[in-house]
Amino acid sequence: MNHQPFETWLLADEPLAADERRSLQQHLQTCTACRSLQNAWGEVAHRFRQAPAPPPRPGFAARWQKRLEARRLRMERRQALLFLAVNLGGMAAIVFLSLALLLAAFDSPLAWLIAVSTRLSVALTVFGTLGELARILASFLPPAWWWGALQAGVLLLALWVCSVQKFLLPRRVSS
Amino acid sequence: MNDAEAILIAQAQRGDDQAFTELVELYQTPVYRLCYRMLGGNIHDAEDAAQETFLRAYKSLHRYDAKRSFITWLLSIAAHHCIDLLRRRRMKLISLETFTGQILPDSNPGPEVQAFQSERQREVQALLEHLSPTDRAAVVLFYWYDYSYEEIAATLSLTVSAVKSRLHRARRQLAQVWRETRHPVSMEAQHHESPAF
Repeated sequence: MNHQPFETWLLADEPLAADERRSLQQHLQTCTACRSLQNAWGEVAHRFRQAPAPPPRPGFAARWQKRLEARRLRMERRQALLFLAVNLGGMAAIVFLSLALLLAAFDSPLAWLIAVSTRLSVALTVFGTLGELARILASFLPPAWWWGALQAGVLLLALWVCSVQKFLLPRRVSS
Repeated sequence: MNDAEAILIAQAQRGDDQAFTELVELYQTPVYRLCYRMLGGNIHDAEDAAQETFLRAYKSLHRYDAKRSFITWLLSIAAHHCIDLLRRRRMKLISLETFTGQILPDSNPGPEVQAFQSERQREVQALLEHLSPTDRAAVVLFYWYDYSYEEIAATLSLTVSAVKSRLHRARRQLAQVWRETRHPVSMEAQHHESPAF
């Protein structure tokens, strides 16, 4: 059953042109379905006009403030727990690795001593080489460059502190 | 938005809680009413959703663009939150018993007027329950907030043509629900009716 364009006109919220209105009136005289739709929509729209929604209970803003405080407290607790969990995880990892090393040492102490001394000598060699490299670089580079590198380092540190404050710490409020 | 509100918003954006609380005072009623209409006329759900709307607005206030209307931005947060809630919970039509007594009248009318208002609220909420969450939001903004198609589109992140077609579909659906619930006999008669043309 096709009732277009009359159905669209019936449900339109914009005023119709004179010829459209005339045509719709003629159609409504013969079509009970469209007449029924018109009446039904009229009733619904009438009820919409007669039913304003109630306002919130008094004290809405005060309840909101309480909720905000509770949310902040929860966030702070969550962050503290996260911090604790990360630290505990790190400590557990260190303990686990230390235990593994100790167990290995108890299994064959001589092999363990040789491995440790080899690593120590490698580390000392690396540090010595790096120190030599730094001395060579220092003789080539002017002092201004070192000063610039120091400033860049400080800037990066400040950027890190700011980003931690902005993204990790909860928003502080002035009362 | 007047100058005083713009100043409050700017102060709130700088972290002034008192300024944001004043904004909550100013806009609590429109936000609450939208949530009330969207969430089946349940005052507890409406309060919860309105409170959450302001918390979300507070959290993302730095993203608010002062060129936009603040109330449209707030209602957009409220509408999207309610749509999410409805989709997640698949909220059922609340029972008549639960609903009775939850009406908070604007003033202090007599018992007859209160009963009439309660009846009207029940009818309206029962009708709105038949619409999809987004269609419901469009209808509420159009009929209770006098929003234009463009404002509804901006609030619900839709195109203007999508808003128009959603509103048309919603009106048709509401009229059909009304006919089916109020005049089922005449509906039956219409099924046997010959085409108009």
